[in-house]
Amino acid sequence: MENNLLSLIIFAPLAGTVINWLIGGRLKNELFSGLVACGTIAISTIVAFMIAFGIGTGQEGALFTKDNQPVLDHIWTWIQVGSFRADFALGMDHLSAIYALFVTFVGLLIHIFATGYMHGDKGFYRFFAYMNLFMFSMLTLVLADNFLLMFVGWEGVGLCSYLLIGFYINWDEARRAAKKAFVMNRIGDWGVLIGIFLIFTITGSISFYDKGVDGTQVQSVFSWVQTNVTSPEPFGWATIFAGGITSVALLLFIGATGKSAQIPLLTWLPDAMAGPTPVSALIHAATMVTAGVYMVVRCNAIYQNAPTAMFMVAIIGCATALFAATIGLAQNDIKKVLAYSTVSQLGYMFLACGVGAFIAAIFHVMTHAFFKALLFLGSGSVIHGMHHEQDMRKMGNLKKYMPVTFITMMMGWLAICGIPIWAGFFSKDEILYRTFVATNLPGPWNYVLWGVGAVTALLTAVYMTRMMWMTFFGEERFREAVPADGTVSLPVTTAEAEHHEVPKNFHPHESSWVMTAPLVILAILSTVGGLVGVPFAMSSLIGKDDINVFEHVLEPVIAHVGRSPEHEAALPAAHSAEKTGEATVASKATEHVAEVHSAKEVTTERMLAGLSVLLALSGIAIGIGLFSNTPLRRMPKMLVQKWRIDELYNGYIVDPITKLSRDGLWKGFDLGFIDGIVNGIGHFVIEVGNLVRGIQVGFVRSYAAIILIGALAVLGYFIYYGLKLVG
Amino acid sequence: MEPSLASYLALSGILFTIGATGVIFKRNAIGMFMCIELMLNAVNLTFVAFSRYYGDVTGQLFVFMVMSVAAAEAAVGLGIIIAFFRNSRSVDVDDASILKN
Repeated sequence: MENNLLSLIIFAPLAGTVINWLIGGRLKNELFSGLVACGTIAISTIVAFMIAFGIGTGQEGALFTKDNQPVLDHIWTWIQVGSFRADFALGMDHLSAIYALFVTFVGLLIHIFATGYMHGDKGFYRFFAYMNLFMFSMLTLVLADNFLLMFVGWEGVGLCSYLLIGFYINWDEARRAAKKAFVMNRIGDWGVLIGIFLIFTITGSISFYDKGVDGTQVQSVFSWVQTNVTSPEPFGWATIFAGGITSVALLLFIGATGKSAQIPLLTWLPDAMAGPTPVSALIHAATMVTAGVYMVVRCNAIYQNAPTAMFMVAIIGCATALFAATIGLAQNDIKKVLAYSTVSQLGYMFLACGVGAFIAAIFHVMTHAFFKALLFLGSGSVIHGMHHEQDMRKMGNLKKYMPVTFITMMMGWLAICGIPIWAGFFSKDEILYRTFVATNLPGPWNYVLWGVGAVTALLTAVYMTRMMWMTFFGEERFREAVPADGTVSLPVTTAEAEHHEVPKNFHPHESSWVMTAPLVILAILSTVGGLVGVPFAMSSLIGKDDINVFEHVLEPVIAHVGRSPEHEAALPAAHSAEKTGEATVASKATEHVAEVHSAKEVTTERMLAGLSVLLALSGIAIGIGLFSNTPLRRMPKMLVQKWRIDELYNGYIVDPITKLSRDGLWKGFDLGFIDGIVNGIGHFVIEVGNLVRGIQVGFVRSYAAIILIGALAVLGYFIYYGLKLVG
Repeated sequence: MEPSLASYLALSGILFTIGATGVIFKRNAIGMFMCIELMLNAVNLTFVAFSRYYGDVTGQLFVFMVMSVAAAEAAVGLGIIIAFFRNSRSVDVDDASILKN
């Protein structure tokens, strides 16, 4: 169905950018800039809710359409060459709707928070112009109806990430971090582009949806894959470079690693904490970094036909989760802990995609957006209250001074540790359960990955407890000197503390309502937001059979691939049985979302859930045990130094390339060869001129002689050829 | 008995060569001019000899052209020499070397 209101969702923030850039810069009025920015996002949020739930539009809500029919909005025919068609057109199906809802809502809360946080900054209007531009790009990304427009949004968010990380333009570290983020994103962009090209080559289309435009029917990539790829590609190394579906999947995944900070392109995210905290909350926790997951889930039809790719996705996701969790354990800057936590949680999301639990991945994206944004904004409130001090070793007992921040962050902490009923529990547990019962991974890998995931969950609880304890409990350490232990932490900079120095007898203070109100809302969401996705195994404990709204909504987005015939035959029976609430014979196909619940599956899920809770509680206990008395306990040096991965990259990749560029390409080729040719031609002409100059010496008689010789030559020519003619 | 055409041409050639040599080797500008006139007259002799030999009057007509051109050229050239002399007080052609290097 068509709904032209969809374009308002993306164009409102764009208008906000333009207004803030052109007019806000002149007015330099914080109230104006803040109102414009938050107002436009509020418009987007309202319209998104309207279209998603079908309120006031006269149409069915985008979340509830049958068979994942999207709400379309064809704005403009962008490219149409031969059989290639890319439109500037938006489409909201179930997946996009969920993303649009939480992106706009969390974005709105963060914008409101930022009006308080950025108060007093000279670049206030610029900040909000960039933030609105980011929202425009991100919403274009999730609402695009074809790969190319999605890529426009993809690049746009990368650009805005660069602009916003490097917001403090006079701070060297911020500039470097922005450059690093952009370059690493770009490496990922290469993967996405080649993937899109390959998709078009293989399928002849780049559209997400089957639709009719200008009288022609455009087939979506995924329906092509569904009809033409009859069986999944075999599992093996050869498929990776074969140029088929697996190659596409892996190329797109490279892009996802760049955007979502997975191994090997993860080091930009911790450095990105050099940007203002609302930026970290919005871009590097809730929205931009989840774009990779969005793309993978959107292309689930492709991934399900490429088991090799899914395996690699799962391995990389899981490895990243563990890797980042270990590093997060040893960081002293509150934002770095959260950054590594983000990388780790993103690893979980990709692990979920890798085992085929796409819906669980999106569920975790949503809950993670809630609690991670909460944690980041909370840390922003802490930083603000501590007069821009970010080192946790200088905090302590802040619960006395900042009660609202404290309570809301506790909600976030409970959510991320995975305590029921907080949001993180349901999503993380779903992922771990699906990993345990996955059937698309070879051999015992599903158990291995589950084990690693469980250990990571434990570590998550430990480091988050450490962070909370160091910040909010214990003794006050504001006035102590930081112990010199050679750690690499983010120092207080003149840029962030640009308004004031720390006074001698200062008290941390609670932040204003502008900053705490979003915290409260996010805390509520972190607490109850997970209840939309309670799986059958849990809800049946209290007698409710099927309240997994989330799963029902996203069910049609997931393609059904490679099911065996006997399973197909069993399916209708399973459906009717489900309606009566009876358990039926379980099918052991890969995740497919018309859930059939067997007693065995339910038991496994409940046991694993119990195990997850135990792990979370023991993690918290370990954290309290280790850090309550010695909050400044030294962590292993390797962890503090982030496994020296930055040094590794710098030493083996960045420095050689820089050296090659500077000495080889610039000095050798550009200055030496090309300039050499250009200058050489000039020199050559001058030398020839010098030579020729020797003829004219001012000796008049020589001129006469030369004339004579010339005349004789011409004469000789005529005589010679005349004689030849005569014979 | 009339001399053959060859002897006229030979005389003409010798006169022309003497004139050419003189143009190159004489340093006096007036002398160069006299040699130029000598070359022109040698050419005139050639034309007339051919005209007489082939019975075609065109050769003699062309001699008129050459003579008038010679006269005009002498006038102009002498004017240049006088101007040059006023500047450098010398008719030595080697002194006209301002264009050197």
